[in-house]
Amino acid sequence: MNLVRDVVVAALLLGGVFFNVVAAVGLVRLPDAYMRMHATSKTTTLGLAGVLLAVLVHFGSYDVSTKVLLVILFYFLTAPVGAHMIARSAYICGVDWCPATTRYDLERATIVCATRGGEESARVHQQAIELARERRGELIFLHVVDTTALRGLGHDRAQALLSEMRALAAAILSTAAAQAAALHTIATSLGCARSQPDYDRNITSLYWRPPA
Amino acid sequence: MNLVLDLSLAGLVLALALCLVRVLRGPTAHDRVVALDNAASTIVGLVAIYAIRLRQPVLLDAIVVLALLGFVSTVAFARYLERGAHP
Repeated sequence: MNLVRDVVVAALLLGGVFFNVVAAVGLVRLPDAYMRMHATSKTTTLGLAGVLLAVLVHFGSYDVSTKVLLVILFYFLTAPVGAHMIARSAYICGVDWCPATTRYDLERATIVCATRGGEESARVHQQAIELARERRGELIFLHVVDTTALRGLGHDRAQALLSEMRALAAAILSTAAAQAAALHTIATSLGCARSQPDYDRNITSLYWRPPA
Repeated sequence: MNLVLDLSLAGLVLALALCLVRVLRGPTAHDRVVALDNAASTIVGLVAIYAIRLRQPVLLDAIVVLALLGFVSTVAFARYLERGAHP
């Protein structure tokens, strides 16, 4: 009876330790944090459960069994929660995955940031850049040139003013793009001239206002 | 039996050393947290085998505490790093 028990204990122990070592090897060898998390889940499920069941079989008394089963149950409940929290935190903090990863099931966002230039806009740019980084989304800076004021002027003057406005828009957008590039984010710039009332409504629906 | 126990202890110490390698190498804080979480689980196994080796079931109380601490610290670290992303 003792021999049978010892053999069972030895088998459970060696099995558990085997999975522990495999998980640790995976932790060192795998290329990114998300894959390493995949390796360490073996420690808490197969590895630890094996070792703790060996303890249960070896002692066999009620108080030990209760404690051991409680710990196993606790680990089975908390390991996924802990892994999820680390993975979520890693994703939000922008921890990169290895380039060989091909599948991406999370939604990609497109962030459109309307800009007027100046100091106040720089803060808005900052928030848009952070949002784009967090969601790993596409970032578009939009500057709208209002040409309704040019209507009453003559053709030549209107054209000259319009080209001035375009140059200003380009300067504002390139400042915004430079701000994004400083934070390693690629942004698309978009200028827009509005003159017709119908068009206005379409443009204003693209504005994004960050919380104050 | 003692040989099997010593072998298991050696195996877990090896696993712990490999976790330490990952903690030292990083490269990100999240890798370190994952490695420390794994190290906590490995230490729980280590204490469990020690309890058999020394015939001291009292050591199993330490396992319960270690399991709780491991989980709480992992969650705390995860929250802390997330907070760092949004000051």
